[in-house]
Amino acid sequence: MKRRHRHIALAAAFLPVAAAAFWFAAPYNIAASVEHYAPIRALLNGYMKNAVAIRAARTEPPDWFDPDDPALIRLGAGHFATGCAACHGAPGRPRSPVVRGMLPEPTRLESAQYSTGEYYWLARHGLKYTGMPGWAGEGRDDEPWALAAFLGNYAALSPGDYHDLAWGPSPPPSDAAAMTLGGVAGPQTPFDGCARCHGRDGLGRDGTAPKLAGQSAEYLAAALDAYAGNRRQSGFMEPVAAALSPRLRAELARRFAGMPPASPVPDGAPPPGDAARGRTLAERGDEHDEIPSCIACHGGDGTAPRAPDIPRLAGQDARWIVVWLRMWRDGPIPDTPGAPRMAAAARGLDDDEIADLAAFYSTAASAGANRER
Amino acid sequence: MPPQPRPLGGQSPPVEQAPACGVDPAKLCQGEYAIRVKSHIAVLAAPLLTGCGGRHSWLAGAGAEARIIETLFWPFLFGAAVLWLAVMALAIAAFRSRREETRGLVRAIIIGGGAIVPGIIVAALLVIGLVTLRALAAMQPGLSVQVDGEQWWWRVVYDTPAGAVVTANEIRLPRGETAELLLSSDDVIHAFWAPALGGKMDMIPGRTNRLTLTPLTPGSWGGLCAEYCGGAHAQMRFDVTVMEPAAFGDWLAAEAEPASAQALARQDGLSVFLDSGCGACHSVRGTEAAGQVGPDLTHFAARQRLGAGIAPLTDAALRRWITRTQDMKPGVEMPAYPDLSPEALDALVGFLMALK
Repeated sequence: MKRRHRHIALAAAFLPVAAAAFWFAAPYNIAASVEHYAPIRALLNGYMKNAVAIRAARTEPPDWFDPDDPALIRLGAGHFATGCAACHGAPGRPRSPVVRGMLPEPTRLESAQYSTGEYYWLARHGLKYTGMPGWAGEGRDDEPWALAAFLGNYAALSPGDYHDLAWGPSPPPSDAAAMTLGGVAGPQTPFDGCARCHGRDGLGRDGTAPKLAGQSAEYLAAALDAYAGNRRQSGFMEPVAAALSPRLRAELARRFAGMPPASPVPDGAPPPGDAARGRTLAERGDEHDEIPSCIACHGGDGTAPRAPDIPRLAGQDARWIVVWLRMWRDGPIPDTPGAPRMAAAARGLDDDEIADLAAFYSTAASAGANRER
Repeated sequence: MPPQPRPLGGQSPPVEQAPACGVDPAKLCQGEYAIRVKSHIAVLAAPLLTGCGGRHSWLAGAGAEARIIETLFWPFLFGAAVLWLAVMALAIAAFRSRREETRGLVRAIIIGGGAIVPGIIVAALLVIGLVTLRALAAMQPGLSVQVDGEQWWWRVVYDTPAGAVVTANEIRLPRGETAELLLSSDDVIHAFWAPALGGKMDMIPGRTNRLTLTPLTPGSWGGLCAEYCGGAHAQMRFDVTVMEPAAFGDWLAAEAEPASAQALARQDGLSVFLDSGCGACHSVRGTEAAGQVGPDLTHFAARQRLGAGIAPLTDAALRRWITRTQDMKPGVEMPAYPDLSPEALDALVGFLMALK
């Protein structure tokens, strides 16, 4: 009995020494050019799957999330082309040979077996030691759901479908060529890049992205600058804005600002909120819940903001208005001069009031038709 | 030299310099000693006595209610002093006496000092208190003012035959008339207290408490929130201005008017005010600014103070308030406007200071 104890004590004393020797001599080869030993590979793979599954199971999608919403799938596809396809390839597009030298090799998603929630978690948080990055927009828990919607439908997509979703009206880079690393650079212009999601008419491709037509050039340029400078968080916009020179950002802002805003045509089901209640709240605010009126800054029916650094709201897709107002209420609050004002305005809103405001502004009358103060 | 007692308050009263007296500086002359003792008493008493005057003192007696409470205070103080002396005398006697001598007294002391005497005193105090309360309740108000506590300011609404007159953070009352204050709250429990004029009363969300004030001394008296109500509680103050009845009537009539033509003529400042979205929270009657969330600013410049009584209303303070709101009043709900251009700020301050 005593002897056995002595053995255990010796082993315990030896273990840290062995661990230090292992750390110092580094006998396990971490080179990407050499495969893991099969048991270690299985261990790491299994651990990763468990870790993702457990965390994804605790993730609730927001109430606006519809995995079959075409606009959300297009948005996810658009971002996939910007941020993911370089490593993961795309339908009909092989990965770059550079990527195939990675270990672990980025997953080809046709055969991946993740649930929507797991795709969300992976896109939101990334994976350590794999090269898979977390979401570029810090704190934007809402955005990766678009990617989850897209990836949930990924296996069924033909190359043509993918092009329609991700590139829409813009000419895609040459078909069937391998992906290039370092951005979506192809034969397209920066404007084509914007138009993939915002449309060539600036009307947002049916809710894929916010409507830019009719916004002021000041507002759009300031937003692009804030995205590029990491002062405003968005995993969609930061990578594309940061790739543009300041001159180009101003130019694109002017171009979209010059486009005519279209009268909002509510397509499909009306948004869930009550537009009449939303109008009352927008016009009067709520003294008891400390909600200021919206119109004092955004103008009577959301078509004519009071100052050029304030966005036009009329006709924006209801889902976008919901996402923005919740962001203003819950964060991340942008680090821009006017941001504390909007954050103060959104502080008292509850989810129902946000839905009402979204219903009102998404269906608010077009310019000139029903302007009132 | 003996150690100097440190003054308790911020102000240190003058302490006489020790005159040169003899060779030994540590030795005091007789006359000097007397001066020093007096000055020590002054040093100790001054901080205590500073609480007895000024615009926040209930001993200022600027209102009938405050005077009634003061008359209640003196009998109470007298009674408390008598009791204290009696108890001290008993304690001293107890230390000096022997056990055998006092055995017969114990029962009398317990019954007399524990039940009969306190019973008489409490009954007498109850009668005095009820009579006082009756006097307070009997005041017939001629003016009704609704005061709502908000985090962290005061919404003031005068109920007049011509309609409600809305203002904020400053209450004006006519001298010699009883005003009824209807106190409520929109968020958490606050308490209304203008010590120089009367007692304090809680402001409770969902109910209205009634307080009457009958100011007697014209002047500007201070008020504050007397119930902790969140971060900026200590900066939730107000002013009560007591005016002659005729001047008060003029003021109330002016307060009911929309913003002055003189202010509205400042187009630049008004544009900055409206385009910056100030109207989302603030009202300026006569303009499209109709916000209800924050204080009504229609006659903003007629008030003495800024930010719910925390700073005198001056150009400089107003600039600081607009650009560095959180620095002046941490936690305040109003967002700051540090990004206004100097010209826009000039125009805005000019407009606001013209809202007489």
